[in-house]
Order: sequence, then C-alpha cells, then structure tokens
Amino acid sequence: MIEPRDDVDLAFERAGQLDPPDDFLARVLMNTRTDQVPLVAVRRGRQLVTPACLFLLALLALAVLAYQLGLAAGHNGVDILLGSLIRNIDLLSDAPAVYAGALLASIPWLNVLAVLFDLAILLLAGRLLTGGAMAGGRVRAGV
Amino acid sequence: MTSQTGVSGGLSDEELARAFCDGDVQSFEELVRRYMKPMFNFAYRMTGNSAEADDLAQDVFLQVYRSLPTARLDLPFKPWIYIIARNKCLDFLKRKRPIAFSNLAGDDDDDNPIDSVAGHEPLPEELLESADLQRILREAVLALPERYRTVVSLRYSADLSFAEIGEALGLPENTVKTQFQRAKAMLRRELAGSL
Repeated sequence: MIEPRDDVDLAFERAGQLDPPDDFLARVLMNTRTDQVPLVAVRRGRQLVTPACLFLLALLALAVLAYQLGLAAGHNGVDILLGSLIRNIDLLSDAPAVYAGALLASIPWLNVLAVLFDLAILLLAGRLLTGGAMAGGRVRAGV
Repeated sequence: MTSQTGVSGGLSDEELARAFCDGDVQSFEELVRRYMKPMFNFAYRMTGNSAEADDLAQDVFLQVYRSLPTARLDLPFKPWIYIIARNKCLDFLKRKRPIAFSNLAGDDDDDNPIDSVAGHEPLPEELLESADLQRILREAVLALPERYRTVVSLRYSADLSFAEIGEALGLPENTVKTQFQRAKAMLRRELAGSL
C-alpha cells in the first residue's frame, strides 16, 4: 500500500539528496583493497602520533637529565653530605641549620628543575596518550 | 531465496552479495555504487555533518566488505546494511556526547499526549520554497530524539519501507509507523518554528 504524501514528505522531496564526494567510491575500493582499518580509527591513530613522540622524547630526556643531576650532585658533594648524615644522625640535632644550609647549597637546583620540568611533560604526554587511546578503543564493529 | 528491489544491471542486491562472496570483486563495487548516495545521506541526516557522514559511510562499506563473507546471504541485504549503518552512527553519536537511554529505545505503545497536541498544521509554503530548505531540514532532524531521527533518516534518505525499517531496527512494523508519525509531528513543529 502506498502511503499518502504530506507536506513533510514534500519538503524532503524538494530538498533532495546530497551527493557524496566525487572520490567516495574510489576511497572505498582503495580501503577494501588494502583492508585498512576504519577511517575513524586511522584518524584517531594519527592524533596519537604527536603525544607518543613527545612521550618518548621526554623519556629519553629524563634519562639524560637524571644522569646529569647525579653527576652534578656528586660533583657538589651531596653524596658526601648524605653519607655523613647516615653515619651520624646526630648532625641534624647538633647543627641543623648548618647542615641544612650546606645541603641546600650543594643541591644542583637547575638540574633538579630540569628533571621536574621533564617529568611534567612526561605526565602531560602520558595523559594525552591514554585519553586518545581510550577514545579509539570504543570503536567497534557494526554488527 | 529472497529477491529485493535494486535490480538495476540485472542482478539483485542478494545476487551481487553472493557473487562477491564467490570472488567477484566487481559485484561489491556495484553494491557500493547503489548504496553510496543513500548511505551518505543517511549518515548525514544522523550526524548533520557531511565530513562525519563521509567517514561513517566509508566505515559502513568497509564493514560490509569484511562481514559479507560470513553474513547470512539468505536474508535481505538492504536491512542488513542499514543495521550496520545505524550501529555505526549511534556509536559515533555516543562517543560525541552521552545519550539518554530513553532516546535510544523505547516502547511506543503508550500514548504520548505531547506528540499528539500540536504538529498537524500544514507547513507554510515559503518554507517549501526556501533556498535554505536542506539546512532547515538538517537542523530539524538533528533536533529529534535519536530513535525518531533513525526512523526518519531511514525513511527519507534510504527510502526504506516501514517493513524494512522494522527489520533493520528490530521493531514491529506498526511501531515503526507510530514512531514515524510522531517524528513527523515533531518535525512539523520544528519546521514551522524555523521561519
């Protein structure tokens, strides 16, 4: 039985249908030939490349900066100060201000700041990665 | 064996699907040619965005390509492809924003007085003559709850019968007709208010 047409039907009929992009068919055939993952997932995958690179670079930088921090701390005698404290805990009660002053003066603060800054970047990149990966994981098959 | 419409070129959709499963890749290309315009328009009606519609329609055909070899070829092809399309669109919309459960499914057996009060006045002629009609319709459809939007999109963009829409959505035909009439009443209100 043919349904009678009303004004809403007429409105849709007059508006007509949009044409898909000219290369639509070609892209479908190309994707099926190589059986690529869905475009939505590919796009999401591309969005993860930058945070992934940032994460790796920050990780490498952390290794270098941590090594340099250790070298600088050793050069400044932080290890000697800490070793003294471990051997004689009374240093803290006998001359706390002197000990603290010596320790603070020996810490390579620029190196510490560099490591902290790198850790912040690492944390940010990690959040971007996990947030994007979780969004991509929700793509599932249609049936 | 069930034969459906879409027999341009001599072969039905089901025959093309079987030929593809037997190794004829040209048959898949013919299926894409037949369905790419309605599929694109269905996704466009669901999302209101042509770029997203393009991506979704591409994903639908890729899913069809992967799933056909293991699909039940004795069943009609048309509702099956729109099951895929509908699921893809709803998944996409869910990812974009949370959807109230009541918008996805529902029992339409009970009367909804809000839907029956207004929405029966004819649309003004200047709306039908508007050069912006496509945009107006797009916004009106997007304002519909998802379940009504799906029915309207399948009816107008995919040109499915109520029986086919029922098959695609897993609903009785009468429920589909009820949802469609309610959707039209809401659309009429939206369209009248858009001028």
